[in-house]
Amino acid sequence: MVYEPEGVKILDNCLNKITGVIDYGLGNLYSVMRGLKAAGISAKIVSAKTISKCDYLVLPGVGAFGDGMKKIKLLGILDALNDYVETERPLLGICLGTQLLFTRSNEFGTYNGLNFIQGEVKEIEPCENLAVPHVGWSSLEKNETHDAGLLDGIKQNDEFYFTHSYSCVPACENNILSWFKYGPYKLVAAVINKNVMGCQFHPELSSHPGIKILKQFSEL
Amino acid sequence: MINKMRLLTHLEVKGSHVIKGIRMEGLRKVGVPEKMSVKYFNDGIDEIVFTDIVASLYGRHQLTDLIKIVAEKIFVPLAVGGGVRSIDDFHKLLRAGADKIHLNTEAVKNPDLIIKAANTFGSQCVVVQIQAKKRKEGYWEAYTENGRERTLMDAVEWAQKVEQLGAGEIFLSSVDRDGTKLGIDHDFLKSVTDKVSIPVIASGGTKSAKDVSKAVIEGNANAVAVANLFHFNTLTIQQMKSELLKNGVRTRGC
Repeated sequence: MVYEPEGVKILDNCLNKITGVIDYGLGNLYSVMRGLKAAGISAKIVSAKTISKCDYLVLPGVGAFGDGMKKIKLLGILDALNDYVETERPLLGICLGTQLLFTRSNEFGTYNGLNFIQGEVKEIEPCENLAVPHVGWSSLEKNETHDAGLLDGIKQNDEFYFTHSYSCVPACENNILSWFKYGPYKLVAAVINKNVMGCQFHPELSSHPGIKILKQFSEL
Repeated sequence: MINKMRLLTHLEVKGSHVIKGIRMEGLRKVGVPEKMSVKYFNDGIDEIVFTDIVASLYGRHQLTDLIKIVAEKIFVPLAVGGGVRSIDDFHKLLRAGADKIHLNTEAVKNPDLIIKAANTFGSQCVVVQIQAKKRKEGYWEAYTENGRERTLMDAVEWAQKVEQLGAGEIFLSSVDRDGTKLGIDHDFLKSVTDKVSIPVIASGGTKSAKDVSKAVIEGNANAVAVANLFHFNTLTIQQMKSELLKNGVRTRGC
């Protein structure tokens, strides 16, 4: 893939759709913006008031679950997000953003999440010679019962960058788009529930295959 | 035991150039960081660490502009260190495009910064660099100020402490081996990885793919940062990855 050199106009997704990246104080906002830019998407940073104007929405996140939910509520984003999701427009979670999509997490206490996807977020148990957090690259094992969608064209040997101590455990296998292997564990890499989807890995830090996923999100 | 090792490179920046020293002294210019880092990304490096090696001396951080430029072109994790003193420094560098921030000197002077940074930004963003010199068999002393200042602290004990404080990773350097191509200090590496469960990145004196493999297989390094071998074109990144595979170590793309 060739990245556009500076000076070349970056076009919005077709028909001038708006892709928003939610700023709730947690997350590598600018990294995600740059990744979307490399995918040809001119995204905007959005807050509670501007979420409703988006056609596509990204929820980034780096940090702890409890903090994430606290900030989402404090900034009035919770209602805006619920309204957005109800209209069936696409939402993509990244890393912590994906974990927040779930029912609850036990990270540093028990916290309720956005509950867009039923399930829990649980700690990766350290075991011999296996570092936690998981920081590294892994290929994906797709859930063949799903249409490709977000992961369309992703090959078996494409690898993605993960950095996390907690992992999503959906209640229903049908919400799993793909898994990955870490030591003795088979963990969830990507999830979906209708218009709500998420990647545990960071597509914006996963080189060419990651940028491809961002592009595909914008074309759903 | 890890799935795949991360292969990093480390660019030590002084002003507008990447330099390379031996035992963290005697600096030679090897290139321009913007060009070198983009080339390494295109060649398949998994992660790039930039250290401003004079920031600590001058009490300021120089790399914000550099990071803004390279972050537009590089889509693997970028780590930045050198003279990071405060949460505000973290904010500036993360906003500029860094994904992880390296702490050394300030972490020793003010360990609370590790806790605060991990709580504010997430442990994933906080990497503590531990630079050490071997004092005697089985004992390594931690150093700060880019290998210049003694701390009188046991480096292995310090590694355990930084894990407790919330660091996401440890970037381990041997001051004795840095730039020498005499090989990684495997004893030091193993002493640390035996005591912590967060990922440890080995660096300092990598001499060959075999040396890097040993760090992973025997030393339990999660990642290895290679500088000299790449900066002086001894090996390309793809050659290193192929050689690592022959030595039983898998990396991204291999």
